[in-house]
Amino acid sequence: MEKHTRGTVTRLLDEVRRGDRAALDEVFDLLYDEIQGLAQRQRRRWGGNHTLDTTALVHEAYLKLVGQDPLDVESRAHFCALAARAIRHILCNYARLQRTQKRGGGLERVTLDDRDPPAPSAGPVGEQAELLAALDHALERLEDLDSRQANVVECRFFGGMTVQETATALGVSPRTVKRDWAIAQAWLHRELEG
Amino acid sequence: MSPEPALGPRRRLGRLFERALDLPHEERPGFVEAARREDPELGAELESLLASHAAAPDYLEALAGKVLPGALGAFPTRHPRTGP
Repeated sequence: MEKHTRGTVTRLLDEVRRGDRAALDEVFDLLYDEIQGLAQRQRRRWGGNHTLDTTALVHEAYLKLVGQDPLDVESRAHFCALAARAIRHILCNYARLQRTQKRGGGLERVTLDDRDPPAPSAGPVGEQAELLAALDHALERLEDLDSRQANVVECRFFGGMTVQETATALGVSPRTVKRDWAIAQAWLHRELEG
Repeated sequence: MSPEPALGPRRRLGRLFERALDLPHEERPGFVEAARREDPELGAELESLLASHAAAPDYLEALAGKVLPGALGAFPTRHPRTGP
């Protein structure tokens, strides 16, 4: 990604919007690298070591992201924040899928894409899936109250980004990140455990 | 004139929360009470969030340790377009 300038990314996203399939593939590669980089770092930290092909969910997250205004994607750091959001969507969608399948459902369709959903052979199970789904729901409510606080949680919790990395990605000061993280954490604890 | 005239309630709450955490523990009740006098609703929310923080100051770190190891197993380790 380093070799791509801000202008390149913006141009590519403009081309994607105009329907350029080659540009879409290139942006997908850029985004995928960012997602994988953050996910690998998180995996090293938390010890997740299973493998599962979740092509459909990655693609779904990608389609969501490129659907955003390309002018919002102004830097590699911002791209990192988008990748952290993609990780949240992937993991939380998967948790909801696990929960639905466990309940013998199928009533809730979690993929937006027409590709097959992943096989439930790995990933969050039971209480983990419930907690992740509940966290995702609470974050949606937090977004309504204060979207920046929700973004900070996405970057730090799902992306494993440091305070400084999060500050750079969101264009705010490290102090603001610390403040948002602390109050969002207290709010989420009250919502989820209270 | 207020020093932070453009701040909405949520941002004011964030500033108050930050300032409260910077205070020695014994000074927080008085700080919360002052906030309540100025804005009862905001003060009540501040008190509630400070209690939540005190109950679990590292809540998200603990939650991550609980859910992410398994959840990250759901994450693809090979490129979806190019395969392994």
